[in-house]
Amino acid sequence: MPAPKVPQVHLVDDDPDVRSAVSLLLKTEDFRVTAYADAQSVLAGVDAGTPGCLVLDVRLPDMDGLTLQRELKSRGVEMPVVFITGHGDIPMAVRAVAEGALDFLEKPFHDGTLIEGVRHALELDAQRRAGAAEMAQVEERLQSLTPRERQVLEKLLDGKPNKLIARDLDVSVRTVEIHRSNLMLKMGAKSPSHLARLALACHDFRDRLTPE
Amino acid sequence: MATAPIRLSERSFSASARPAWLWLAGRSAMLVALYYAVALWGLVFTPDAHGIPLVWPATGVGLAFVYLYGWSLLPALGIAAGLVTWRFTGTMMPLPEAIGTVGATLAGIALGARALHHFGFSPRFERLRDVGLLLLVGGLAASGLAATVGAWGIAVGTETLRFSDTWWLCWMADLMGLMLITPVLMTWLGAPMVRPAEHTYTKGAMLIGALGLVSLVVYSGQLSAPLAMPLSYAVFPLIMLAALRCPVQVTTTLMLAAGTIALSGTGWGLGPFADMGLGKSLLSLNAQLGLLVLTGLVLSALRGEREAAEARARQHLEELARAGRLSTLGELSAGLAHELNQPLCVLTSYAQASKRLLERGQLDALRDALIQLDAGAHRAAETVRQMRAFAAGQSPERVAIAPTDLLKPVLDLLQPEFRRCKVELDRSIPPRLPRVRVAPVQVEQVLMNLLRNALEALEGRSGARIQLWVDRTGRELAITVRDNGPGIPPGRLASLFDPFATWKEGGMGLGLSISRSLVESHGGQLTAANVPEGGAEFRFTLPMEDARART
Repeated sequence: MPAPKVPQVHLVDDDPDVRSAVSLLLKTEDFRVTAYADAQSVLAGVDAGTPGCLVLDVRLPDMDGLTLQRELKSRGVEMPVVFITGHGDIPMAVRAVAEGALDFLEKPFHDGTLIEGVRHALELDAQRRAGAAEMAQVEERLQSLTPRERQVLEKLLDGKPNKLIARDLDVSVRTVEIHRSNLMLKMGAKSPSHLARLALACHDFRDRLTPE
Repeated sequence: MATAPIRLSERSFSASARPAWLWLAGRSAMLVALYYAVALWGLVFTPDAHGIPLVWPATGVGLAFVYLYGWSLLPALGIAAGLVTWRFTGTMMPLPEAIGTVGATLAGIALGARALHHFGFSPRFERLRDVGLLLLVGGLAASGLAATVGAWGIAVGTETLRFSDTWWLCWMADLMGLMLITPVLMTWLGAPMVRPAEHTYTKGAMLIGALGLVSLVVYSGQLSAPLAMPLSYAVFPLIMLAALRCPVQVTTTLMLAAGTIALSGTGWGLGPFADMGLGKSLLSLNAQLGLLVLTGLVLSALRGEREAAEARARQHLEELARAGRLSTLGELSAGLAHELNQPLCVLTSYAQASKRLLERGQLDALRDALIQLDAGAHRAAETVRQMRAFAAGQSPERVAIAPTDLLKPVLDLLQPEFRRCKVELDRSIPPRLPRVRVAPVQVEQVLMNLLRNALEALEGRSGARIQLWVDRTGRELAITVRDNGPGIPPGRLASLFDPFATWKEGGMGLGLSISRSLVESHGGQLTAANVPEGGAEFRFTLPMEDARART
């Protein structure tokens, strides 16, 4: 696993004075800040693999903030977004939050609100990343199953008892029991229901959650 | 604020009733001297044996002084009237009668002055009613009483004259004298000198010269009567010109001069009116002089009324324009709030950062942050200043200003709107343009209005573009705003500048109407046209600074 990277705050505002003032404020809280003047440089400069968050002015010269948020999402950048605006534009705030913006702050910010917002955003990002890492681990374990074990897992998820599984696969009940205990071990499941939860969280089995 | 207030506070009747004794003594001496002098002059011209003067300006002098300075001058007036009575009737008149004569004169004048105050007479002669009031009050109260006394005094001593005839002649002499002298005294002593825009000293001097020359020629006795009589009317156009173009003081003085020369000439037996005999000559000359004074005063008053109406119209336009600016600012407020919130965000961010840097003892970084904070505060203050300058307070005083300085504040103020509407501004302003003499805030308003109309027409259109250029044509500077929007609907072009002609949602339809009035008040023109390639073009002209006489 790569060494954990330092989280980055990506600040986007077309006003150079605002950029330097807000950067300084964030740096006094020991955040790492990268400032951008427009949407294109953000799209070019943000690395999805590095933890961080976005502080985004809703009106940018080349693209509005909401479009940029969508564009980033489509490129796999799932960082939390804190919008900032000098307009006090309520409809836009509603749309931004509906599209997953974490916060919508009006300039000028009250003492601490921006810093709180950024801290919250970074925590969420860290949580999301941790969750994602866990998921990757489960997927990895899933891949380590033998084809037979995988078959048994599928039948289990269908809710079949050992006897039926043994008959379907044309093996003894005892063999099914052995596969099943290996499977539990490999997946790190503590109980059958835990196993079901882990498996259903995986990409290959996600469709089983939807009712037929 | 209008530069020429319509009315100044006038001398209060009661306030002048308690002047310092020196001032009172001065005015009293002036009144006695003047009263005595004009009586002396009037009595030189008594062409018949009964001693009825051609003109008796003494009553008019008394009326002017008592009206202007109040009751406190009545004692002086009594002395003056007494002196005159004693000097010219001497022992002929018994003391009780002499006292009665003086008393009646005083009463007539006091009553006249009181009536003038009561009816709100203004010695500036800027309204027709002032002219009417003076004639009415002068004719009824002052001259009426004075003439009764005079006629009685004369008729008592002679059997050949009937009282009614004498009264008629005395009344006319009194009223004529009053019409000649009172306006002069009142305008010089009681009204500020207001120079009309067209007035020049050369013009005034030429008028005085021409009038003096004409009068001297007519009353020199060198011309035959058939020529002298019609020529005596040459003073009319001169007085009319003075009334229309000169301060009212000049007009009243010219009338007095013309009257003095005519009466003196006639009194000495010279000029076209001399050969008619007392009754006829007096009647004839006084009729002419009366008409002359009436013409001069009525024209002055009409000019005054017109000027007052113009001043009111200017004031209304200015108020309307200011309301327009305020509403514009209201409509721009979203953009301006952003313009203010940006620097405020900078300020608060630096302030919050400074606090943290101070807590950490990072003094160098703190110092830099504070310097930045200071600079940001100035930027915010500049934005506020621009808004204020546009909205209010600034006087519509005309100054010589370079066109670039007129355009910059408007473009600065509209910058957020241009950004918001995504409209490109293409400006072409040649350097070293001559200056124009304008009220900057009003021209800025016109520009603001034209640019905002263009922005509105362009909103939501791709490739939107406004061209703004300045060029000079002859002695004028032209500013043009052209957009590539949908243009003006052909049916609207004719009524575009009419008030309330709007087709915009929520618009009052006053913007262009006010703009045209503002441009025209500067001596320019505002025109609108559609461009063949599509879009509308608004163009207004302003006279260059040196091309226009200062007003």
